[in-house]
Amino acid sequence: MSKIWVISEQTATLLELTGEARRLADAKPGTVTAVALQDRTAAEAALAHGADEALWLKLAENQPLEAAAVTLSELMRDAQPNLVLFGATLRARDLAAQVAAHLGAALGSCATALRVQADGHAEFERIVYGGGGVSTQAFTGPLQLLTISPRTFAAPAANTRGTSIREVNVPVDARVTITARKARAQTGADIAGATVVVGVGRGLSKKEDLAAVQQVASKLGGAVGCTRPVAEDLQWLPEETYIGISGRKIAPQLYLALGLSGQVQHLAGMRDSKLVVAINKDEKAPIFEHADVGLVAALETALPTLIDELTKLGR
Amino acid sequence: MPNVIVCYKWVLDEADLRVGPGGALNLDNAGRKISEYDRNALEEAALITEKHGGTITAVSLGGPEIKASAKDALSRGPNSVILAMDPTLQAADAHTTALGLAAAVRTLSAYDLILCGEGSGDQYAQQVGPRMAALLRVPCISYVNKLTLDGDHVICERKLEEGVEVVRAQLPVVVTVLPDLNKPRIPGLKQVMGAAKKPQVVLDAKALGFGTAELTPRLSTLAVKAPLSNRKKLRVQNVAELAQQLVSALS
Ligand SMILES: Cc1cc2nc3c(=O)[nH]c(=O)nc-3n(C[C@H](O)[C@H](O)[C@H](O)COP(=O)(O)OP(=O)(O)OC[C@H]3O[C@@H](n4cnc5c(N)ncnc54)[C@H](O)[C@@H]3O)c2cc1C
Repeated sequence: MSKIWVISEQTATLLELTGEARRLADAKPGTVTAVALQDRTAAEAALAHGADEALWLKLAENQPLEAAAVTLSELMRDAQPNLVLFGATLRARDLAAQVAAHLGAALGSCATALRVQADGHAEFERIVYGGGGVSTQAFTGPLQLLTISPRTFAAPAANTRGTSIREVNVPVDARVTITARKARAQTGADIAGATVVVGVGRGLSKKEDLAAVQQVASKLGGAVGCTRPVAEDLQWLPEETYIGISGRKIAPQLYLALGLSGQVQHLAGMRDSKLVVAINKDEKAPIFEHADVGLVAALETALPTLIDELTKLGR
Repeated sequence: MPNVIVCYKWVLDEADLRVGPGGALNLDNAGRKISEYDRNALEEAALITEKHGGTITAVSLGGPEIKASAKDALSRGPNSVILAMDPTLQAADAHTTALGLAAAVRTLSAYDLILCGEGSGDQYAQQVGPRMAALLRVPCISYVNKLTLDGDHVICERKLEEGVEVVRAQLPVVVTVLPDLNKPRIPGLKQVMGAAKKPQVVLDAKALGFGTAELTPRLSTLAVKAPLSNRKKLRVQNVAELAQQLVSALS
């Protein structure tokens, strides 16, 4: 019998993982245990979507999620699951690493794909070298812990199995207290959902030229995004508009890359674009290797001409 | 006065990645560097001790190649460095690395704050900081972009998906840091010269108390390949042609 555990503090992610775990458990066969953190309704939802049993770990209001690490590892030491899937939110990645250390277990981080062999051994893929490589890894031991990016699996259909929810109180760690929470204000364009994105890099010589970039974007019906240094170092555009491994991932119909070199960390965020068009003044810029259409030109002259040409084409 | 420990990884420089036949990644000629976020950790340690006094000990783990990292690390502010260095540690996974760093930390008489980068530039598994905290039984405060020492407490701002979480924790703690925490300075000639005179301690696997259990990797890597890219790579000669391509892509 295989035992699969799924853990997330986000209800939607917990359900995705529950659905995938159910699929794996039905093939083996085995059982699925869903662990809800913070919210009881998430445990109920998991039971209605394929979990055989649910645990609800109750944390005090002022405790960070990671305070559950010791409790969770003790529960796992007792239950001895074969495969544990955590939703790879920031907090849960930290939590999973602490649990893995308490158990002396392997943890695969931020897997983008998962395969489980007939004998229960899991293999997974993850991104390494800032997006420059995809690594396939396998577990060497029987206890396999993995964090998986949210939205890797589809939301499951309703499938009621068990009904019991076990409540577990997480003892307060008096050494750590949350003293405030501040929500993040959304100020930039929504580039994650845009069909056209114009991405600008450090090749833009002055901030004023953003107006021309914006104009190109509106003519194409798109949103403006950027590379990390444009947001974080120059602070010309809001942080939530930078594209890449540590920023937003985009998948537009068209990505127009302006004055950006195409470093692996940036490429990792725009790889799923349907068509990539690039302008860069350096003919050897790596972005040209990752573009469908490329033009060697300086932005100072290319941008005004591009606006004119798009106007001529009725845009 | 705080005793600060900074852990850093001597990573292969991803800018030197080459893609070989069949998409295999070639890192044979890649240089090494202190992982980016670990430089933020080193800088924060320097800022803290400039303000509050105290000492900085840098700690790294790896194979014999990490010997070359010591001067670079020491030029960024630490008073001394501990190299957990052994041929068997060359490709250590997060499990072994955290055990080794924790063992190195335990050789020190006292510590208040352990700073780590949030993740390393190569694997970016984001495990070593939290794992070490669990092994040392101290709290871990991760994803920090603002840090203030307040007596025997630390106040940190964690940058998370939905916003900021402010956490106050009693020392000692492990803190993992984000790149927007500070701007690492570039060491000058004086710092580089000074680094040569600072003490380096080497601990091999035996000195770390390591046996097969600690050294057995929990994960094995089956393959590392470049992500697929099959773009058309068409060059156009002028902006008019480019505009044409853009417009036809949208129709
Ligand atoms: C751990 C880590 C995570 C990272 N995450 C991200 C991430 O998520 N997203 C991200 O974007 N970056 C990320 N980076 C940074 C990344 O490595 C690159 O430094 C960054 O993407 C480069 O930005 P850029 O292309 O704008 O600048 P540069 O690399 O400086 O490139 C500027 C380009 O503009 C061209 N140019 C210059 N002048 C002109 C002109 N007048 N006209 C036309 N072209 C011109 C140049 O030829 C050059 O190719 C990360 C780095 C690290 C270490």
